[in-house]
Amino acid sequence: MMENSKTVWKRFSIPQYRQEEDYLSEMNEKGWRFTHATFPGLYHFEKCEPGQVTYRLDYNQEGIRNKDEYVRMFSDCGWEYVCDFMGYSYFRKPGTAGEEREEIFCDDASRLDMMRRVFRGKIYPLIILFAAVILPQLLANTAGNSVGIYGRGIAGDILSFVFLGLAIVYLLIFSTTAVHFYRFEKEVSGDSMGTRLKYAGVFALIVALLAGIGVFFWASSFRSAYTLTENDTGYVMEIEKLNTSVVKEYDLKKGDLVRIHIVEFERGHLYLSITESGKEPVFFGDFYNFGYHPVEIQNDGHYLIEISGKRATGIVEVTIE
Amino acid sequence: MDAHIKKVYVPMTESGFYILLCLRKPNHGYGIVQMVKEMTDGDIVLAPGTMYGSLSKMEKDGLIGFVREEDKRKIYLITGLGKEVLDLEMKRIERLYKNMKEMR
Repeated sequence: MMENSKTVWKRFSIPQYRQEEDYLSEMNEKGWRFTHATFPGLYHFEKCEPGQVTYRLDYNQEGIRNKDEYVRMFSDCGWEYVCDFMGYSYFRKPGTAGEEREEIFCDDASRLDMMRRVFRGKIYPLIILFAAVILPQLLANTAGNSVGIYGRGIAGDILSFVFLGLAIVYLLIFSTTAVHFYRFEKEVSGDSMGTRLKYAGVFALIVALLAGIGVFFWASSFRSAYTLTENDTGYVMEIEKLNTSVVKEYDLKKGDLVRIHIVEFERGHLYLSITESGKEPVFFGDFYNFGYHPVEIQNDGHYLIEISGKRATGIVEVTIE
Repeated sequence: MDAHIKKVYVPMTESGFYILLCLRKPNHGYGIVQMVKEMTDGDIVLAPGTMYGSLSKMEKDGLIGFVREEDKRKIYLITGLGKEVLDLEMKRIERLYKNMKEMR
């Protein structure tokens, strides 16, 4: 038995509405009539007599708000309104093969106006989201100074990677969108130096952002830069950035007091531990519970004092008495 | 007339010019399409996307005003500002035409 309807998942990027129109026309030629589309890109068809039909997409939010008059204008001109999907309105008109396909725009100015509406309606919100949420969150979580009790721990690490991923996806969307807009503008208003410069600027900005994010991410999460100064009673670590662990070894006696003092703590996460070689740590802590209280050594032995960090910045002083 | 209006509408597209020309009398979008088709012996058929976009843009910019609705069709009429813009365009086209005639 032949099915009378089918659903196809198709993905068209924001300015690819031309391809979308062609796709719907091709389906109609094969005997599948477009009925409606649903999130996230499911195109629903019903069986029909194969035939030449021209599909056209308009993007006009005002039209959607005043649908009666909007649809009336198109139907007066012989266009059947099909549906709305993601801000686009779909229209179709029967047309025979070989004939020049009809357009819903008769000049380049109004075609460019539509692209501007698409840009305002679909790309602006993405740019705002990117600039106001994704980028600041990425920077805060990656720097290690995000606010909140979970911000500095493992959740901060995960968020940092999540926002890095999101930022890259967004920049990819912006790049492909810019390519499509460039092609479109070239087609409509010719290839001018001004257009080229504009898009070269857009791409330079995207590449600079990507490079900036990359450098920032590396510098915050992978680089370690610190100075370790030993003195008579222990050592001082001045940490610009710590993403590794630093172990110092000492032979300690029963009754020795080890004091790990966090003189300054700016951001990130610090873990501190004192371990007798080959045994469980006698002390493990982080910047929350490490203060002036010294740890008293219970057995003579060879001890490892480890200071490790994740995106950490600060000054740590180790004193042995 | 402010700079924005001048920048956007002077010079004007052929579609825009015909819209303003026809709206010296109240009319709706499809009425304008038919009028222009007649005036140009079927050469210029204004498309609905262009028409809808232009009418709402011109209404927003105050070149035309909404009069009433009839059978789901919005009827518009040119405003004082619209007349000013049309006048500028007519003068520009007259000069163009005059110069073309002289040079021919």
